[in-house]
Amino acid sequence: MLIKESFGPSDFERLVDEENATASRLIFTDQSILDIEQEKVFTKAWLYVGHDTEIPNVGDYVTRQMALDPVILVRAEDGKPQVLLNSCSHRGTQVCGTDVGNTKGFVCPYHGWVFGLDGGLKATADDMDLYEGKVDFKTLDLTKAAQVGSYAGLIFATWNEEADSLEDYLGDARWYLDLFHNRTPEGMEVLGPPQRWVVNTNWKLGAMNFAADGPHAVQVHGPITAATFNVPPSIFRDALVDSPAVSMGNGHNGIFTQIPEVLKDQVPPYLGTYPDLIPVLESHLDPKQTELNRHLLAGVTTMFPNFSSVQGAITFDNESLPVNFLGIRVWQPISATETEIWNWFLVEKEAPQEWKESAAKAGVRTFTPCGTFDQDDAEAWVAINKGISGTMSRKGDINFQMALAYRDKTIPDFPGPGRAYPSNYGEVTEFDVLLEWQKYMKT
Amino acid sequence: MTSTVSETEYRELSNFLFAEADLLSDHNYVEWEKLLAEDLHYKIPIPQFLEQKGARQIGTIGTDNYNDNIDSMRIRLNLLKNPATTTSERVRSLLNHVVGNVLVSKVSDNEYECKSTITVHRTRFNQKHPTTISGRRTDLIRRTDIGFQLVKRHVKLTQAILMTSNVSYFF
Repeated sequence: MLIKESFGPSDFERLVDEENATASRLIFTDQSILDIEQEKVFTKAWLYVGHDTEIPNVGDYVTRQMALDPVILVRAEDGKPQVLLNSCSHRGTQVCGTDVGNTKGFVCPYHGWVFGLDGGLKATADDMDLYEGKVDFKTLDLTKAAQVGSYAGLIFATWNEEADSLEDYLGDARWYLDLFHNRTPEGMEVLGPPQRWVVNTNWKLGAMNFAADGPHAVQVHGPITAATFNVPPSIFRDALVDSPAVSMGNGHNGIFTQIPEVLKDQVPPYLGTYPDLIPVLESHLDPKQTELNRHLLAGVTTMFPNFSSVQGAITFDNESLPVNFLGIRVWQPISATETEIWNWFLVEKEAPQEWKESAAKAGVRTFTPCGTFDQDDAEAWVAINKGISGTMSRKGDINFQMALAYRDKTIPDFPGPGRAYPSNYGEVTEFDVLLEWQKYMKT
Repeated sequence: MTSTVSETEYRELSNFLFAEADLLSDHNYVEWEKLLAEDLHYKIPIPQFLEQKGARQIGTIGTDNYNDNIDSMRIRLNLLKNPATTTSERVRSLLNHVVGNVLVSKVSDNEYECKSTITVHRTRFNQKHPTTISGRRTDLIRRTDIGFQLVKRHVKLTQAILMTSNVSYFF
C-alpha cells in the first residue's frame, strides 16, 4: 500500500505500468499526486494560453489560467504576445480582474502599482523616492513566462527556461495540427470568447479521452450521431474500428476517423469545410495531409498535457449539408477531482460571415456543456471519479489493455509522421498520454 | 410598438410561463415542444466580465450556451424524450424551474414581450446539493389559434463558469 507522503520518482514507475497497459486508480483521485503534477508537469511543459486572434492589437489582453496560476496574455508594444503572472509583485493581488480588454498597462487595485504591457514595474504607490533607494525595483516586475511561442495561431507558454522550443516540443504533431489549424493561407480565427465549466473529474480523463478514446464514441455518442446522420450506430462502430490512431511523439496523440462508405455522399469532403475554400486548402496543405484529411468524419487530438482539438461535420436539420466545427479546449486542473474546461470554436478567416455563424452553431450544439455530444461525455468522466474514490475502489487499476492487441501493429505506409495504429479502438494513443505523464513525474 | 397589457392578458401570459416551466420540470418534452413556434430562436449567450474602459469583444460571432432554431431544438428534444439515447438524462434529473418577476408588454397585435427571471435547481443521482443556475429571460410570445407559442427566448445567465458537467435541460 502506498503512503501518500512517500510518492517519489520510483512510485511513478509503478503507478503507470507500460508493459501491462494499466495505471493505478490513485493517479486520478489523489490530491498529493495532483500537487506533484503542478510542479512536475504544469511548470515544465508548454501550456496553451490563447489564440493569436484573441489579442489582435497592441495592448489587447485576456486573462487565462496556466493550471492553478492566473496569467495575463497580452500583446506587448513590440507586437509579440507576453504571458504575465496575474499577481502584483507587492502584495500578490491580481492586477487584472476582467476577462478581456485593451490597456496601456496594469494597475493593481490594492496600492496602485503600475506595470507596463511587458510586466515592467512603472510606479509604486505614491512616490518611489519614499523607498530611499533601498529597493531594487528591477526585481519587482510581474513574473513573466520563461518562454512564449506560437504555432498556427495557437499561443503556448511555459515556466520552464530549459524547455525545448515550442517547435521542437510539438515536433511531428505540427503535421497533424495543420489539419485543424493551418488549412488556409490566412489561418483560423476564434469565433468568440471561451466558454467555461467545471466537471468533477480528473483533468487527465478529458485529455486522454481526446487522445483519443474510440470505443466510447458508439456507446455514448451513437444515438446523437445516428439522429443527425440518420443511420444506425453500428455504421460508426465499423468506421471507428477501421480508422487510424496516431502517437505523434512527446505525448501528443489523436484519432482520425474516416467517413463510412455509406455516408460518402452525405458528408462533404474535408469535414464540411466552407466549399469555396477547398481548392485553397488542397494547395495549402501537403498532398499527404490532404490524403488523410479528405475523407475525415472526425479528428480529435490532445497535445500533452492538456490542450485538445476536435473537429467534425454535423447538420441539425437532416436537409442541409453538414458544416465543419472546430473546437479547442484546455483541461485545467483545479483539484484531483475537479477540472475546469475552457472551450473555443474556430473557423477559417477567409470564410464569409454567414458561414462563420453556421460553424459557431455547429460547435455550440455539439461540444459544449449544453452540446449534444459533450453533455454525455462529462457524465462518464464524473462517474469514473465517483467509481474510484473509495477505500476498495481506488485500489487496482484503470485498464487500457486493448493496447496489448494493437501496440505492435503500426501502419507501415501511413501518410503522416509518428506511429500510426490501424484502429480508433486500440487504446494505444490514449494510454500514451499517461506514459508521457509518467516521464515528467519520474524526474 | 409597445403598450401595456390588461389584467387578463397579464394573467394569461403569466400562466403560460408557469405552465411551461412546469412541463420542463416534469421532463415533459412532448408537450413542451408543442409550445414552440416554427420560427423559434432560443439563445443563451455566455456572460462576460468587462471593464468599461478598453472593453472589446473576442471574435466576430460570440459564444453561446444555446443557439437553437426549431430543427436543432427538435434533435435535442428527440434525445431527451428517449432517455436511453442520452447518458446525461438516462436517469432523470430532479428539476425545479422557478419563474418570477414577470413583466409583460404588447409588441404587436398578436405578440407579447415577456421578461421574467428563471431559477433552475437540478439534482442528479448521488448528488448532495442541487446545482442552481439562474438567469433573466426576455421572450417573444405569440398568440395563435392553438394557444400561446414561444417565438424567441434570450436568457442572460447569472453564472459565467457553469459548475456542472452538463446542461441537458432548458431555461
